[in-house]
Amino acid sequence: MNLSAREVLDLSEQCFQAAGFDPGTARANAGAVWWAETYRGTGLAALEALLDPLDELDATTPTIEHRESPISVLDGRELPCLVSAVPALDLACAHAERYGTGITRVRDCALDSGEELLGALAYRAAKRGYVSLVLSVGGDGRSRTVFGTPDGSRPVVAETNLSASSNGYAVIDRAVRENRHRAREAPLFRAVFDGEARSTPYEATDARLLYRFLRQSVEPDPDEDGEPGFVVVCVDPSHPRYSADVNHVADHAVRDAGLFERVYSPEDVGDRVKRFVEEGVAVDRERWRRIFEFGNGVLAPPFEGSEKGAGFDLNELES
Amino acid sequence: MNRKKLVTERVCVIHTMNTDRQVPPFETGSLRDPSELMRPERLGALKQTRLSFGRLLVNKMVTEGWEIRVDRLSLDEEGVGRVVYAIETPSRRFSFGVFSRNSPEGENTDRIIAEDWDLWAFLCEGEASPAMMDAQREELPHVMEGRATPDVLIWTRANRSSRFFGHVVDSLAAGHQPDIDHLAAGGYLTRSSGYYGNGLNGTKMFRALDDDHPLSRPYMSQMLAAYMLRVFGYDLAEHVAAARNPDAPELDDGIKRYLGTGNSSGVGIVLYLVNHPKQLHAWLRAREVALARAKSIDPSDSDLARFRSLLERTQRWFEEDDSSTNRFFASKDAIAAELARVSDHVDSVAADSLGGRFWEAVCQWAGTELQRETQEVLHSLLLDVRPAVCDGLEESLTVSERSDVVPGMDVATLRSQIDEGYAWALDIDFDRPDATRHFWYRSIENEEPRLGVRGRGPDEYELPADVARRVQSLRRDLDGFDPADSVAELLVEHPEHRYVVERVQNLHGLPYAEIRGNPLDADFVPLHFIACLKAMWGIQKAHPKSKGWVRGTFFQGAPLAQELSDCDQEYWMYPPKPERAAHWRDTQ
Repeated sequence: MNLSAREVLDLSEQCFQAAGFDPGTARANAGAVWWAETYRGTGLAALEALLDPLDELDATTPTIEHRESPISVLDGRELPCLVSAVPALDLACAHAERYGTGITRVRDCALDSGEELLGALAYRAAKRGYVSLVLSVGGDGRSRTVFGTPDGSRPVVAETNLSASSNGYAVIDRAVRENRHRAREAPLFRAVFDGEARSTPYEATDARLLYRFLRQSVEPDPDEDGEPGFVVVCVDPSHPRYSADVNHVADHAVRDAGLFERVYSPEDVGDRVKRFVEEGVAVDRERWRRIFEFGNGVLAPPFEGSEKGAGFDLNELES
Repeated sequence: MNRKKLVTERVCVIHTMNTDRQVPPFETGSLRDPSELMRPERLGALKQTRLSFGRLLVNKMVTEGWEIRVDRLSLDEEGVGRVVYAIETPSRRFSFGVFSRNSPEGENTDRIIAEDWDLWAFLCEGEASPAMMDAQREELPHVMEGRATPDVLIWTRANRSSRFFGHVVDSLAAGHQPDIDHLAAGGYLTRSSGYYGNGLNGTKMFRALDDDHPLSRPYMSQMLAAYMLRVFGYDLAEHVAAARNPDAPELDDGIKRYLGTGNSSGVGIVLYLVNHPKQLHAWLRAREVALARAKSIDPSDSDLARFRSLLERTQRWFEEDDSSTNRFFASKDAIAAELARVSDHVDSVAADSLGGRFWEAVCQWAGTELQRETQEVLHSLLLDVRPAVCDGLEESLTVSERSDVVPGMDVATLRSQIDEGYAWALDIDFDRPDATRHFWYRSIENEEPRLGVRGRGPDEYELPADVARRVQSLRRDLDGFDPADSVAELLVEHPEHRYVVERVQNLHGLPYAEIRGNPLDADFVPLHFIACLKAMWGIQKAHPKSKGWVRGTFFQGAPLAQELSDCDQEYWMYPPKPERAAHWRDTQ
């Protein structure tokens, strides 16, 4: 069967609301399902896989451990990573707007379901105008790096899977574990430039920093000691601190450098979105039924008032 | 990239068009204050205008000379069967497929989720082949699971009017025309429920319609479906009458023109308006700009003559309308009487002494002397005196409703946006028990939004209709944050505010987006919201069945299908009741 794009979003939103998310967060998470469907063709499958964890979800929130410096730290409280995803992105964006770079590290969250929806954060950050990286490491040590950069009306998104946590993830993780993230001055700079120097084709410090961090984010960490969780990094290319080279680094990373296993070109995604909008999204009927029935959790069970048609005082005119 | 760019309203003034349709400028400050316009009682008084979607459709059909004809018809003597209409526009063809049945008396509820209807229908692009008809016949009755194909634009469902359809058929079968006085109480043969959104049941998304698509404006697919139900209602009645009596006359064109398509709408619409604030703002703003332009015109003699002619026609329509408005709307007779006062007032005020302030002065007088509904009838008529005041505004009715949180905004800015735009919400006393007597929910049984009484139902399923209460709660929590903190920091600690934060940020600068009422209040009247949407659609008449359920009529007076391509009707609203003709009683 086919669902319209609107139905994919509506059904997803309803599922997240049924799981206890605020309507605003539910809508944002529904957008992640749509992103996964349009970029990866897996949104509805990912949503279906999330239904059981969502069913058991105690819709509590992540706890903010630290927010004073450009690196924020959230305690994911062992909840599915999607619970922390939206606040993590918001914090990273807000800090990027203020400081030029914003980083959110989410610890202790469950990545066994919903991890692929985290890629939507890179897309969303790019829609907001930021160059962004989402680095995640699951309990099995495998990791994923998703990169997004603004590009006209549709961001370019690229991703790479690694068998171990990435270097980029590890440097942030270590910085947080060693409490170095509380430094107000350029913690990313310190973290990335710690250790061996490496030549870059860029002169400006900010561009060199981003270039180096991008490379680190697609390389496996030789120590493989990153703790599970995820990191969102946002860089504001229009921030007064930064040079125009930041945009060049981002463009180069997705167009020429061959850094990523897969680059989703805006043109290809645009064609797919157009097809989905015009023809709908094919979905297995049983999958749809599971999602549909889960979403019906927003409906109130029968009660005395619900049997009164439109509601109290709303039926035929009282004479 | 939308970061850092909150939506701000820009006043767009079209200073000149061609010489025949010069659009007058207006002062930005002459638009009505939202503290007046956005009160539920005022919105409930609004009437259709040239910018109502039903009127925009008819205008387009006439201007472009659309042709509508029966492509295939297969109905039995009870009118059970199927019909396909072909709709030819200059750029593309549409089809309207109808499945007609005759439900047993009392089975039909008019509820949008009901599975029993007299008519199921769909509007599609291109031709509705027999195979497509077969497939849609299987799917249409299934409200939730039914699937359209991607070329289907909209599904619709309707019932025959138990009061009027049978009367028309009986009269025609008896060889004469129906009793026009009886029909005037309702004004339609078929009645649909609320309208389905594009994209539901797998229908084509609104976004998929190109700018040059004939139905690319909001609600155009829904309006065309409603118009086609009017067309089908006449064909169906004539078919059934002819089956009973081969010599039965056709329904008189004057009567057909006087009738429209019925509509039955309930409380679900309240949530629709709450959930589409940008669409609401776009329509209201276009209307207010047109009104401001109209008020700024120095009327010519011909303007005044046209106004008097429209006023007289409208007054008569209200006098002749026998439908009951009950206690929720002003009585038709009272409006008619007040329109007579408008006429007298206009006669008594010398236009030349007021110059460009003439209409403004008339409206000011009406604002103090007349009921709200009469004031809004007057406003609607002013837009028809010089139709050019609506030029360029139709394009502004298509809006994107996408939004996102602006996480980097500081708490001080968010606070000031609330204090500036939501003072009305902060003024509501939610400590009063009656202020939260109701909660909105959707139930397993009904699925449509419903109103429950707090404490007498599971209010943990409450829908976010409570904008004012949420704003107050957010505003209280903001006080616990440093003004320099970011919205992102607020939302980590208070994720429950995300919906309302996003709303406040994205509606800032859109003064007509928020209805300044409290849908939770014990005294809340859903009809105010419903009547507002009916004005947007272009529905006339209003027969409330309760304070949350109203019936009305689309397209009353509109050109008939065969008149679209050669229409000389310059104005069709507020049609006079046809005079009984001698041949109406002729037995054929």
